[in-house]
Amino acid sequence: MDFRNDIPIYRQIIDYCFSCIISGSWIAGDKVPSVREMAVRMAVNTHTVLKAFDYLQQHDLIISRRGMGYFLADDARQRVQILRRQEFFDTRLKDLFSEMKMLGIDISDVVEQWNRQD
Amino acid sequence: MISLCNLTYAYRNRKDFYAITDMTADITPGIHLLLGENGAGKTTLLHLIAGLLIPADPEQCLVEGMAPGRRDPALMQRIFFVSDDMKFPFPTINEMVRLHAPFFPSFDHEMLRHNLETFGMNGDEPIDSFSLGNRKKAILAYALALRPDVLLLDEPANGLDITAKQLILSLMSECIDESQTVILSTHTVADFMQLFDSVILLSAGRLILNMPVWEIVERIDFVTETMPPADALYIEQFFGRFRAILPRRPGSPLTDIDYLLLYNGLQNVSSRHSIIKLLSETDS
Amino acid sequence: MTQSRKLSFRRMMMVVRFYMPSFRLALILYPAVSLTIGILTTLLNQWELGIFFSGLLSLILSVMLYFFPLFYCRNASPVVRTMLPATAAEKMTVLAVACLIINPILVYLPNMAASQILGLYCEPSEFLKLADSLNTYSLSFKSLATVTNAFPPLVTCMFIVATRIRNTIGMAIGMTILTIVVYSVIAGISGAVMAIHGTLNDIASNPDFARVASDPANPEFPGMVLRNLMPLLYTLAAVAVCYTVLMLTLAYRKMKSLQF
Repeated sequence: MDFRNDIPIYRQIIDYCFSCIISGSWIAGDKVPSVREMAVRMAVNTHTVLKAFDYLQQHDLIISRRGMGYFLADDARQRVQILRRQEFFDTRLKDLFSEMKMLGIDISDVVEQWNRQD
Repeated sequence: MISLCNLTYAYRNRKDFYAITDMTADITPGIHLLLGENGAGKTTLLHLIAGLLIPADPEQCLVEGMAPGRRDPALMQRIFFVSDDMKFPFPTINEMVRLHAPFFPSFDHEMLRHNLETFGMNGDEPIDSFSLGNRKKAILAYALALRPDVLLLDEPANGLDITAKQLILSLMSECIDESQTVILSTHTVADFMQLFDSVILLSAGRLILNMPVWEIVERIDFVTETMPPADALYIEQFFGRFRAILPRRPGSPLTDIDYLLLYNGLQNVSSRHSIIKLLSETDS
Repeated sequence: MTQSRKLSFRRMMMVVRFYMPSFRLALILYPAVSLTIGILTTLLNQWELGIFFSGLLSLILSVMLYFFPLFYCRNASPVVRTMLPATAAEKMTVLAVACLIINPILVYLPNMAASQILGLYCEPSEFLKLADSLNTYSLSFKSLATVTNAFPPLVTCMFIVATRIRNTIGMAIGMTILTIVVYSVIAGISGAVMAIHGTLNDIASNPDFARVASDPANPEFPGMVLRNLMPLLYTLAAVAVCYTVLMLTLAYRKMKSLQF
C-alpha cells in the first residue's frame, strides 16, 4: 500500500479497515486478516498494525478471540458510519470553519453553494 | 538477541582512534534502522556483530550469548552479512545454493524461488552480467531465503530504482519473521521507513539512541506547522513551514516518526540532550 | 555448542566443495601441463642439448608447484569466506591438503608417469647416463631435494593467501620469490661450505680419498662429493620441515582471528 505523508500510517490503516467494512469485503461475524497478514500486505511493521487494531477494538469494531484472532463485530458497519460522521464533525468541519473564518466566508455563502449543486 | 556491553573498538592501524566507544545496548528481534553520519561507526558495528572484526575483549559483543569473534560454526550459521559492495564467490545464485546454502540449516529453497521470481530471475543467470541493481536484488533474495537469526544489511537499496525498492520492501515484509533480528544501515531512510520496529542511532562512535519506534512516538510528536510551536524541542524550517519535535501532546493522535527530523534533532548539540531526556523518561 | 568446534569430516567435505570452483582450473590445467612436460622432457633428453630445455621445463613445473595456492584467490569473497560456518581448523586443513599433498601429486605424478612409460622407448643421452651414475644415491637424493626445495616457497605462498585480504596476489608472489631466493642462497652457501670442508676432511683422514679427489674424472668422485653432501641435505630437509610446520601453525592462528 502506498502511504500518504500527511496522515500517520496507523491512521491510514484504520481508514483502510473502515473502507473494507463499509464495502462489505469484511463480513460481519467473520475473521478479519491477522496482524501479521496485514503487516505483510502493507509492508509495515506489526506494531503499526497493532495500533490500528487497538483502535478498532476500542471502538468495538473488532473482537479478539483468544487463540483464534480478530473477528468483525455484527454491527460494525453501522458503527463505522457513526464514527466517520463523528470524525467529520470533530475534524473536517472544524478545519473548514477555521478556514472560513480566516477567509471571511459566511455560512450563508456555503448554503448558497450547496443549493446550487445538482 | 544481540548484547553489547561497553563495546569498544579501535582499528589495528589507528590505535589512537576509537571507531566505537563504550557501546552498551540490547538489540532484540525485529527490524532495526541503523542511522548515523559517515564515520559514525555503523559499518564497524555491523562488522563487529558479524564477527568480521574482533574487539580486544570478544565478550563485549555477544549474539545469542556467544561471541561472534570466536567464529563458532554453530553461531556463524545463524548470521549473514550483506555488505554494500559484496563480492559474489560464485557465477550464479544456483551455484551459491549448491555450495554455500548447505552450511545454513535455516535455508528455505521455496522462499528463494519465490524471491527470485519476484525479481524476474531464475537463479541460473551469470551474476557478472548483472547491473549493480540486479546484483543487489539477487543477493538480497538469497540472504532473505537463508533466514538467518541475525541479518545485517549495509545499504541494501543503494543504486536501486523505485520499483526495485518497493519490491524489496514487500519482500522483506514477507520473508522476515518475528524471531529474526535484522539491522539495516541506510542513508536513504525513506525507502523502508514504515518497516522499522526500532531505531539505533550512532554518532562519532557512540550510541545515542536505541529505542523501539512505538516508544518514541508515545513520548514525542513530530509535527509540521505554519508557526513554530512554543514547546518545540527542535525546529527546522522547510519550504515556509516548520517541522518540529515536541513533547507528546496527550489526547491528540500519535504522529508517525520522522527519522530525518529525529536524526537532525539528535545531531544538534543543543537539542540532543532534551530529546534524550524526554525519551528516557519511564512512565510514572 | 562445544561440539560444533570439533573437527567435522562432513563439514570439511562441504568446505572442499565450497573451494572447488576456485581450484577447478588447476585440477584440469596442472595434470595436462605436467603430462605434456613429461613427454617433452623424455623426448628432449635423447639429445645432448636436450638437457638445457628439459631443465627449463622442470622450472615450469616448479613454478606451477609454488604458486598453486594463488588459485585460492580466484573468485574469492573474503567476507563470505571468513563468515563461512566452519572452524578455522577445518578450513586450514582443506587448504593445506590441497596445497601440500594434492598439488605435488598433480604437478609430478603425470610427469613421472610419462617419463617412465615413454622412457621405455626413448634412450636418454650419454650425458644423462653419466649423470645417472649417481644412481646409488639418486632416489633418496631426488626426493629429499624435492621436499627441501619445494616446501618453503609453497608454504609461504599458502600462508599469504590464507592470511591476507588486501594485495593478496602481489604479496604472495613477492614473498614466495623472496623465500626462493633466501633459501637458495642459504642452501648454496651451506652446500659449498660443507662439500669443501667435508672433502678436505676426508682427504686429511684417508689418503685414498686424496687420490680420488685429485682426479675429477674418477668415477668415485661424484659419490664422494655426494656422501659429504648428504648430512647437509638432511639438515636442510629438517629446516624445510620445521619451516613448513611453523608456517602452518601461524597460518592457522592468523586465520582464526582474521580481521577486516
